[in-house]
Amino acid sequence: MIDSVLQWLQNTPASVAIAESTWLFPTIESLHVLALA
Amino acid sequence: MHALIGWIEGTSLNQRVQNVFWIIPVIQTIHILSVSIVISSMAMLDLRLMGLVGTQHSVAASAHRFMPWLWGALAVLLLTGTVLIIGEPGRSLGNWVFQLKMGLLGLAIILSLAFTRKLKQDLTFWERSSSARTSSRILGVLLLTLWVGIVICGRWIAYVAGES
Repeated sequence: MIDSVLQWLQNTPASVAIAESTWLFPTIESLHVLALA
Repeated sequence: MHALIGWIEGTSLNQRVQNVFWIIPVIQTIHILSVSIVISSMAMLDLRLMGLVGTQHSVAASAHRFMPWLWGALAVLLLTGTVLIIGEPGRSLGNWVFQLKMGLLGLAIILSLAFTRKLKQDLTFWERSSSARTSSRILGVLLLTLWVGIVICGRWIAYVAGES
């Protein structure tokens, strides 16, 4: 059950875009840390 | 720089940080919590300098409230950052984003010290005239931009290759 959900999540356009981009993940991480404050 | 990285990698402290599995994640957690203290306190003070929030309080009162949080959290950041550098010197010291982060940090500290110095000389310095208020707004924008830039650089260090 969880495997199929994770597989679906991994194949979503958003997931693929984040995985294939060199800058999206660190940019989201920067916003995440700033939002902590 | 390469020699310094090599020397740190040969120390017993480097081996200790590398081999004890919990040291780096614990230190990183404290480092991030301290970053959030710096950003939240500096956001409040810088937005006050810009005249956007807390205008019922003087700049001096806002600085008195928030600056101690900056210096306290910066001391913790210096300590935890040093441990992280000792544990992984190539990842940080040899990385241009880390060097940029340190440059921005140095500038933010110098500006913060200058801001405090002027305030100690005259509690109304940043509010006493229209030109002083303009300088205050510019300083607020500059400082907030620097602190946000420092956080962004901190996150990007892991994604830009350093020396190994």
